[in-house]
Amino acid sequence: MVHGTLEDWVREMDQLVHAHGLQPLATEFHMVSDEDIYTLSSYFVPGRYRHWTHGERYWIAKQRDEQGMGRIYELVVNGDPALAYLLDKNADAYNVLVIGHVLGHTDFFARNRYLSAVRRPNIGIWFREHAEWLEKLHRQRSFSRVEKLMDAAHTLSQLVDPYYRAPELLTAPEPPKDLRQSFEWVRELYDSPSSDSEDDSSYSPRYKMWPWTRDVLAIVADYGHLGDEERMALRMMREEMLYFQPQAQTKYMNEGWATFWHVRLTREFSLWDDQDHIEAMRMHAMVTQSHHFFNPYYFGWTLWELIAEMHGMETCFEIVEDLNDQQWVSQWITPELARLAQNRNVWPLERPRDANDPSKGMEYYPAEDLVHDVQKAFMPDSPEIYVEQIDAQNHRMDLIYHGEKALHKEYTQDVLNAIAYLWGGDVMLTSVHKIWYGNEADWRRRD
Amino acid sequence: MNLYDQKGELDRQWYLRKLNQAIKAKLPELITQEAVMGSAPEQRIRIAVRKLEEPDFRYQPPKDSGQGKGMGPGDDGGDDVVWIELTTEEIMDMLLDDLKLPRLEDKPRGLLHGEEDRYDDLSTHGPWSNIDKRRSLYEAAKAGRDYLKEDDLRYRSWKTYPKPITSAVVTLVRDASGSMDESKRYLSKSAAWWLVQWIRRQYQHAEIRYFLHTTTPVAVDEKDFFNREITGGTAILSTYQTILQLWDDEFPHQDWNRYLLHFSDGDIWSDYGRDLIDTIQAILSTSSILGYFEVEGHKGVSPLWSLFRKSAEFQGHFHPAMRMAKIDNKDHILPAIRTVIDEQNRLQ
Repeated sequence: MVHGTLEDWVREMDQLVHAHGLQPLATEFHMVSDEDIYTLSSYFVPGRYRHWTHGERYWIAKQRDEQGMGRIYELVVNGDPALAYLLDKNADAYNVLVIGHVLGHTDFFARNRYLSAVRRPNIGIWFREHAEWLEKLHRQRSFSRVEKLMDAAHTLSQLVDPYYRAPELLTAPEPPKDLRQSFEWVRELYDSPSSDSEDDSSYSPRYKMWPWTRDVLAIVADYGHLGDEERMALRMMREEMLYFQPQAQTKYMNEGWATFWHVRLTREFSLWDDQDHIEAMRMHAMVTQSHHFFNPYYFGWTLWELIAEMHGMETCFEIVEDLNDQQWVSQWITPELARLAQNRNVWPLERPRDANDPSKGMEYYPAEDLVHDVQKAFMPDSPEIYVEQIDAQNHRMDLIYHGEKALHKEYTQDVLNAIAYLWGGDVMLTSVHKIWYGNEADWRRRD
Repeated sequence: MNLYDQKGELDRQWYLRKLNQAIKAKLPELITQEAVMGSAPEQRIRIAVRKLEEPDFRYQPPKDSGQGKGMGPGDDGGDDVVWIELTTEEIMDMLLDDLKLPRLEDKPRGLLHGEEDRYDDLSTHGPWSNIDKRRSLYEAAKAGRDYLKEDDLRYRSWKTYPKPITSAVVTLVRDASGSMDESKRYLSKSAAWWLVQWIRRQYQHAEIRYFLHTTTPVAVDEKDFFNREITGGTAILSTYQTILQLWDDEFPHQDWNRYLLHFSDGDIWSDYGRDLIDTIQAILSTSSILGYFEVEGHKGVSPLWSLFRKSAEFQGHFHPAMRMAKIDNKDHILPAIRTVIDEQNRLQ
């Protein structure tokens, strides 16, 4: 059995952590019921605003747990102090492991520069303020209207850009007037008339902007036809998206790092019997199931182990500080590392001869191909779409997509409708394949 | 620490509301009729529904992508399905609840319950025009005040009461002749089953009469209507005359809304006489609906279909009681029912 209480475990874990040179954030630990952990894990943060997508995640988490398909063990919030929620119905041995895991996460939070950039004090209150604002809006406007606003904002979540700055109005210096001397007109008579192209290049209207940015949501919140409350709500939601963006971009590093450390910390933990350690390792084995190679726990953990072995701990700390998943994978997975992983039998040695037909048997998986495949899997897989120009005179927004791959037919139309709904004017997306027009009414009509 | 506010549960309900819309659109594909037919109303049926996705900018997935892709971060597999359980009754509600018997008129000797709104209720919210001044002042007086506060306001509100105002008889006729093979029988019985279920739910006090017909009509009860098979040729004159006679004897059209729903493959002898057209026109003029479901009929125009068109047309206009629909396979059943039983729907 595990000796002591939560406080004792946390104290001991904390000492172990510091002995390893980790510097986790100050962390609040809370024991909560399963109902609460479903809610927390579907909102990601206590007190976040209501939305049906959160309800969906809540329901799926609940169903999965009730059917024994998998349980959520913990939730950690990147705040100052960090908040950690443990599930009270878990066995004590599990919770000890989870404490180690959580401290791994909060150390990662503290080190990584992307996550540090979005961390703020009293994170719960910040989210709660947003939630209250939206609640108020629900009461002022109709429920469905706010729902549409939120749904529309959510469609733009992947385009938010922390480096967005409000574009400047482009104004060309006005051509000097009345500098003509007398009889200038006589010379004009003999000069050849200025060509049209010259005329075009001199034409720079002042009601246009070329904000070369991806951040449609920010543009819409700044320049769309919206009420002030709605503008504010959009900005709040955008801030939250910016807050969550680095977490999504460092998911594999983060989970791997936490797993890497909970393995070490549980080895040294002393307040339990061997039986508990075995129990905890059983949970570890369950979480890091490798039948699916891109399980973030498994993949991240093995990659950290390999890098630590090849390059030492100091390098690992530097990587945690500077990189995100994609950079990590593309800079640090080398054929040598993949070969080592295959020798250790932690990364796949064989691949199916034909991905669509498992009956054809397996073949050797060359390390170079493995590296290539892994890096390819981490390449960003969303189209790059930019706001090309916005025009105040007829209130239109032009988006542009230069990529070669075709955009999703229905979804792109839906998103354009959503943008048109927020923008309150004409929206056009130009791509190589097709030109899309947003239709505000379609978004309003959608259920 | 009030961190959680039961939000999860509330939002789950919000999500279910949205899901309902999605399910409703897809339900005819999702459930097999066999699962619903003949099962008890409390029977629970599990159906897998795809998660609702929020649209975003993404690439068009390649057409030939099967399960082969498989690997990729974030691709946990099997996660995008939600299982929901519905009772047979709920499924019925979703599919048929918004249907109303068309051309249902008030009749003096009513049995069917219509609805009547009466302003005899109070609520604390409502439009200003409905403020009940006396009750509002009374609330203030109870609190010992001589002025009104927001909380004192009471609004007049209404309740809906059932009120017998009309009556209806629905007569189902199924063609049981030799040309109706196994699958045609199955389709016509399925459609009839849905209709009967729906009438039972919506109009408890409606009379339902059943007929099978070959060359002659046979009045049967519900069980026989769905189970008994007889064989013979096809003629509908005698059937319609019998029904018209029955209606005139038992359900005079001054007191009853009369509905006739006929399932057939439309394969009749085309040398019908003038009296058949007269009978059909008599039925049209005294009934609310003459609904004709053609089950796996001719590719082109069947004799019965053209007969109905001919009889119901007058100077380029169709009689509003004449409704026709074709059922060629299982997926057509519910749309066909909607075509026939729909207030808005008119033949052009």
